[in-house]
Amino acid sequence: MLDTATEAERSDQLRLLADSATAFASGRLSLARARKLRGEKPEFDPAMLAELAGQGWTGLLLPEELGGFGLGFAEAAVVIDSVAGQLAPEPLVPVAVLAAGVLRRCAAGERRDALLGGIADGSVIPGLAWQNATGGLDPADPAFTATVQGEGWSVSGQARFVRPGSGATHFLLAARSDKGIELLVVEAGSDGLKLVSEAQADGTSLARISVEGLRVAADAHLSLSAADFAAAIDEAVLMNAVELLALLRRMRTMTQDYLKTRVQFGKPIGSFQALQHRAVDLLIQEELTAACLNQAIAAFDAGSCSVDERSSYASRAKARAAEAAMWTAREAMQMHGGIGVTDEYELSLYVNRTLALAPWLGNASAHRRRYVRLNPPKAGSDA
Amino acid sequence: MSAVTDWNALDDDSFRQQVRSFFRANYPEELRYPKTRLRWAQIRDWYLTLSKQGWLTPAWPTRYGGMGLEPSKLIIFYEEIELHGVGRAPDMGITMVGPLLIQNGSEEQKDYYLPKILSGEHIWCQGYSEPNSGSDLASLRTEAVLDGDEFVVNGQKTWTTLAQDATHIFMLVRTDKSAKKQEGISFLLMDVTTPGIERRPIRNLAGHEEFCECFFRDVRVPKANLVGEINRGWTIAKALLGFERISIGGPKQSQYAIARLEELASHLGLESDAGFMDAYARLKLDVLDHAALYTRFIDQVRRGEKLGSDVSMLKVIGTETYQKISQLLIETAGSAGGLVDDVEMAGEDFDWLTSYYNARPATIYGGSNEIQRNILASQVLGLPS
Repeated sequence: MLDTATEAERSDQLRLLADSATAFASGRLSLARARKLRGEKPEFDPAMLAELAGQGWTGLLLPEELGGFGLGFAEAAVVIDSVAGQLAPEPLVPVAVLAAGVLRRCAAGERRDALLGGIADGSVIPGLAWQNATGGLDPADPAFTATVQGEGWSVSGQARFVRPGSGATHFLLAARSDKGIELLVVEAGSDGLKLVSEAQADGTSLARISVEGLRVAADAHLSLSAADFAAAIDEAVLMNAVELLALLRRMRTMTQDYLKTRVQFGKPIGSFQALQHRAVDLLIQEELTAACLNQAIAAFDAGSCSVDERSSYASRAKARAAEAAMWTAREAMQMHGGIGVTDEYELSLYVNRTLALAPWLGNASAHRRRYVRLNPPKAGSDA
Repeated sequence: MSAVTDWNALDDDSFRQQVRSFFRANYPEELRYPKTRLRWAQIRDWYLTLSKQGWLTPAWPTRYGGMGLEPSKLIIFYEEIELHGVGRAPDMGITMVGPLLIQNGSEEQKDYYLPKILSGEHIWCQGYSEPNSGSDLASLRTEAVLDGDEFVVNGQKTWTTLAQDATHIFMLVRTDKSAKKQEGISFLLMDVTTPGIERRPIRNLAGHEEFCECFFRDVRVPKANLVGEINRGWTIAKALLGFERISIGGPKQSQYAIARLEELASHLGLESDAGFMDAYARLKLDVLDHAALYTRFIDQVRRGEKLGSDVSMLKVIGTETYQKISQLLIETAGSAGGLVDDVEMAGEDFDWLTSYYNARPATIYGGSNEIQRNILASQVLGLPS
């Protein structure tokens, strides 16, 4: 557990976890597999998600009594980094961080505990539906409205940008009621649940979910505070930034290798100063991203910051990671030349995954705006 | 100081407290956060106060009159200096000549020079750059020819910071014209009042005279002023650039500048100006993330690890962020952006041009940012030449 391990023990454990995650990812998560799954329905392999669960990775952040491991974000980041680096389309962050984070903040109960246990063992794959059609990012204003009706609830509205969509076993509809935030658990394929897939650049999809007066039984209703809901989303934002760091690191090292081997004018093109300096700027962005993310992860794990400080860390991390990853993608394509814009070359998979993941849960400018909204410029505040 | 204190034995907090209260009690209020480099006449008393306290040379070993601070304590000492806004004294003797002599000097050189740095009797300046040897420093041509027991020095140095306040200069000079360029360079010490030396201040963009050019015509320097072996000067000088490379990449200048930008923005009520806020947000996050990266390197120093070439990235991102902030400051100042010194704006005084001017040389000195990128490309990315 976090609080009992010393710093040295923890970094040893992190190294071990990183080694096994890397070994698993390189053995089981090939790029060819990722390429083959593009555009499939579902766009990921539920058996592979179960295998990730078998590694304990879908339950890393969950308490032990619910089948998890009670580990921190540093540990989660190590695993997510390996899985994202191999472009696995399995929705690890949406399920194990976002949905699990929301559910574990709901009041304990049979329904909730069963869902969390299912996430930990890979049998439950929930998609959280909360953003409205224009991609609003305010957790206090989720996409659906819910009213009590008889013994149960009635839910209406439309959510967009839901991950996972196809392949999900359940949807968690986040709704506003006159009491606060309600979470309605609906099984995939239920009558009255309309699902439309929207294809993304990387061959995965996001779902539009709409319901009109859908009846949901009382035992499928969970509730949590708006602050708790926001906290869970911030955790997903931070871990999404970890995925982007993994992508940009791979694109940057591919480019670095290419600069050393591609020969033009009788020389490796990496000997040209114009390209060297551009490659260095990408390295600097990668290191800035890593430093920023490590600081944010340490703050989340220390658990001592206020809600706004936590949101600020998450926004800083996402703003940096998304900006740096999009920058790296553009530069990687340019420095590779023609091959950089072909589907056949592996860079294309990374570029397209970046295009899909950078906007999810708010792109760089959305998070810069949120950061300065939370921390407006003030006189007399030394940075 | 009669007894030598073992500062490293103190816990970090009490050490920090002692340093902080000493600065508070003794550093002149009017010299806090100076906008430009202080001249010797202004900072002399403080230099001597530090010397009397035994704190002038925190990194030197105690047997040479230093505090003998280990890296973690040294970091605290420098943090407190920055936090209190303590001005930079002429410190070339403290940070360059002292450590260099301690590593490479003869016993006679150490006995003669080190106490005079501590007493403030000798103030040093650095003679490295030449008009035709800036980024390509190893191409330097100022020549020292041995003639009996003396070197005869001819040539020119430039960008010699505060040479007009110095009593001594340490120089890289060419002693073998036939060798490969790095291998014919020696390290030489000189009294600046030696006949044949002329110092001319150079006025900078801001109208200040912070550096000089120095001319050497048949200057006769005792052979005993050579540090280390002849033709080994380049290696000796390079070994010194360790800690400088991290301090030159620190976040303080950017943090100070963005705090001024925040004051200006809040005075002008720009919180609702989307254009400003977007530009501001980018820079604010650059400052914060640069500071996070800086902390990563500082932690490395604190653990006693050697810094690699990758530390160059701190200087690149730090100084370029500083320049962008200074640019946004004068843009935000609008029509008043070209006014010098303290400028009244919405009832408050601001000085944006000083930031703008100070930010210019930051990407040029200490190895220009282009040179830093070359270093990162070859030594960190392993790109071919």
